[in-house]
Amino acid sequence: MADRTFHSFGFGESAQGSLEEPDRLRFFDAVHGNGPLLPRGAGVSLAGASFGPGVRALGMRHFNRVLAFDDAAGTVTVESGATLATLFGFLARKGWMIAVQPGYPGVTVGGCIAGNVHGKSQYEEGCFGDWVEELELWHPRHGRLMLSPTRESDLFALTIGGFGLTGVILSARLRLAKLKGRGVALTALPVGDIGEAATVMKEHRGRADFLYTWHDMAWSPRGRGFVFVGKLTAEGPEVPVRASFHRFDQERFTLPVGLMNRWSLSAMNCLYSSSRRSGVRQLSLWNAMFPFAAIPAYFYLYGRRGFLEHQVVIPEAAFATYIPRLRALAGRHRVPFGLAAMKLFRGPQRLLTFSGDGISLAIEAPQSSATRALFADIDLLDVALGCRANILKDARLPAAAVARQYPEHDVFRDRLTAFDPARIFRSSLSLRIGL
Amino acid sequence: MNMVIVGASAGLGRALAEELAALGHRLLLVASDARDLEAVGRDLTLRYGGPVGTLAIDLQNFDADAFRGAVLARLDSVDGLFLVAGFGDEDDCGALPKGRALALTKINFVAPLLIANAFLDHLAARPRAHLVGIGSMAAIRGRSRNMVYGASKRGLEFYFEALRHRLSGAACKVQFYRVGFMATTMFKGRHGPLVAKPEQVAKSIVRRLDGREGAFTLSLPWKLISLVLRLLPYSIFRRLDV
Ligand SMILES: Cc1cc2nc3c(=O)[nH]c(=O)nc-3n(C[C@H](O)[C@H](O)[C@H](O)COP(=O)(O)OP(=O)(O)OC[C@H]3O[C@@H](n4cnc5c(N)ncnc54)[C@H](O)[C@@H]3O)c2cc1C
Ligand SMILES: NC(=O)c1ccc[n+]([C@@H]2O[C@H](COP(=O)([O-])OP(=O)(O)OC[C@H]3O[C@@H](n4cnc5c(N)ncnc54)[C@H](OP(=O)(O)O)[C@@H]3O)[C@@H](O)[C@H]2O)c1
Repeated sequence: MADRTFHSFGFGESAQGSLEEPDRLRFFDAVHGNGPLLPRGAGVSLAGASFGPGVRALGMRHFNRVLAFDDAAGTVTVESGATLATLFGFLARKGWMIAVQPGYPGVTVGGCIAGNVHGKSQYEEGCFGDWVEELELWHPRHGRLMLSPTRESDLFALTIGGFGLTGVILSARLRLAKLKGRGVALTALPVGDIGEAATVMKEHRGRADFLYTWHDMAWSPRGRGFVFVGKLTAEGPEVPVRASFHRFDQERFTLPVGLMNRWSLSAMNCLYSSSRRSGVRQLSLWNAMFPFAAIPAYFYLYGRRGFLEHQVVIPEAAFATYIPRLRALAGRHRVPFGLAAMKLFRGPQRLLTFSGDGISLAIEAPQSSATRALFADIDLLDVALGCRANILKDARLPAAAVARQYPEHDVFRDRLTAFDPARIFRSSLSLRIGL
Repeated sequence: MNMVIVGASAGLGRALAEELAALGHRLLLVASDARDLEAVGRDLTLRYGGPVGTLAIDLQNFDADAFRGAVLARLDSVDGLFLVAGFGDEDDCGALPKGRALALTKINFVAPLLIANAFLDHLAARPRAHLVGIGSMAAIRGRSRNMVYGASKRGLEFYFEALRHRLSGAACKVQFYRVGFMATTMFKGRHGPLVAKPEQVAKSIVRRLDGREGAFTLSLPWKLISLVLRLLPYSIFRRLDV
């Protein structure tokens, strides 16, 4: 067990704890004291979700084995430390894919379940948890438990999007989506501002496999950009069983001074907009699914101070009010946005899961006191307009904002405490949001 | 080819199993916990297609002939035998209780020796075969740390030289690797410039399977360290905290 300083992806939250990476199942035969413990996947969450002060993080990377595959039922049973990359090539060969895949191939199945993450088209495919049929959870006081929507359903619901606080997910059986093709025809539709993008996205709702937007808000405060409409196509290269890609590493060398400021961001965005012509581009499914794997340098340019991200679901009725107010706040705080992107969302919101009906907007800005002040004002805007922020993507979202945006915040805490009165599992995130 | 890997549930052995599975070999995985073996076996079967069998034994307490029988009942012949299992003890500094000292010698020396013996004739008779053993940099010079472990690994290295001599002329290649630090549970998850990933070491070993016979140190830094350690007069070595 090694003591170390952990950082969230983007360096927004840090803590001193220890890391242990068990590699044999007998590890879970023992009780391991009274904690605090915490499961950890690839550790690339933007919030301090997989570490905490004085917490013994249990890295699950060795538990990455595919345990069963059922072609007739369209399911795969896999250990929680398996990454999307591990599953991608294997499933593609068999004509299947994981339905919900975040934009980085190194994230683990455990992280995706505990974060109940979304992919390129939440509107069509829902969240990761919607595809989990069954999972095995380990808790030192309760041992190994099988959970499903019909077996210990409350604990199952608490574990999906439960930020690792109910225990360690050992394995899960996932329902798969049929692979409709290995390639993606990605159409870029230029838009003059964010409002127009929302309208264009709605026009394509229900007719695209991928649907998201990108906006330049550094140079063009109105958010000139593109709506990307992706359709799977049969043609595309085969992905090897062992796909290689650039791994993000929080202990990597970082530039002491970030290079991302209003001017460099504007220049980069202008460069991107002008190089990115409208029209259709044919991409491999891998490249379309994991665009960030191709451009790690983008994140490195933020340097050691890093960046903060904030993602909200904005109800459609509030959208027209939200955007000008957000723009005004950004202008007042003089904070340049790096990335701004939107997706369509739908579905019931429960417990602390990031979902609901509306348009999700993610923004990213270099970390500074001005950015923190801006994001604090955005928290108030979110509450005022009935928006909900993504807890897993925001390294500073305070307890008060979570309590006001998530009606079941108390229900989550009470159920968690009832299951584990000693609260053995803790993280920087859980302490910050009052769990 | 039919390959048996002893110590295949974790670390270097597991990495070797993946490399060999990727090349399409038929595998039999051996370690002490059937649950780990089952998971590794299922994963490799599903992802690489080839059949992967498992056999759980405790190297501290097993019968080599019964083991040979169990292996040959699962694979009708053995073309590769990888003796990878190893075990270290943090308190191996001179005052180790008898049981723990015995465990170290059994797992690191006696068990691989007995298994190699049990398969010697079988391997010698194969048209092409491989016998691979894993040693350690801890066996270069006797130190006040890893005393029993180092002695066992030195013993194993010696025995592998004897095996090479015994099998010269046969089509069975005998190779022995002195491994430096590897980022496995055995090394307690420590990191550093000299710490190799087990996957890298496994790749090198598999790449060299059809290469020269002998005892090898894999990386240049460890070759240099090994050379310096060997050349150092005892009067100086004695003072070093290595
Ligand atoms: C480049 C990039 C792109 C991204 N794109 C998206 C996106 O499109 N959509 C999206 O929703 N998210 C996205 N994310 C966020 C990411 O998908 C989530 O944060 C995900 O949870 C990270 O997985 P991980 O394996 O790194 O988990 P970690 O960061 O290690 O952990 C995340 C949480 O899961 C818990 N956990 C991990 N393993 C287990 C386990 N075995 N049992 C129980 N709990 C466990 C941890 O305790 C922690 O609370 C992106 C992140 C990056 C860096
Ligand atoms: N890691 C290092 O820094 C390092 C350095 C130099 C040399 N080495 C050598 O490299 C080899 C591989 O080590 P590693 O680091 O990969 O070790 P590891 O991760 O601890 O794996 C050891 C393997 O051996 C098996 N094993 C151990 N004791 C056993 C027993 N009594 N019966 C049956 N199987 C047993 C284990 O399975 P079970 O858990 O089921 O017992 C496991 O599969 C060893 O020979 C070691 O001495 C390692």
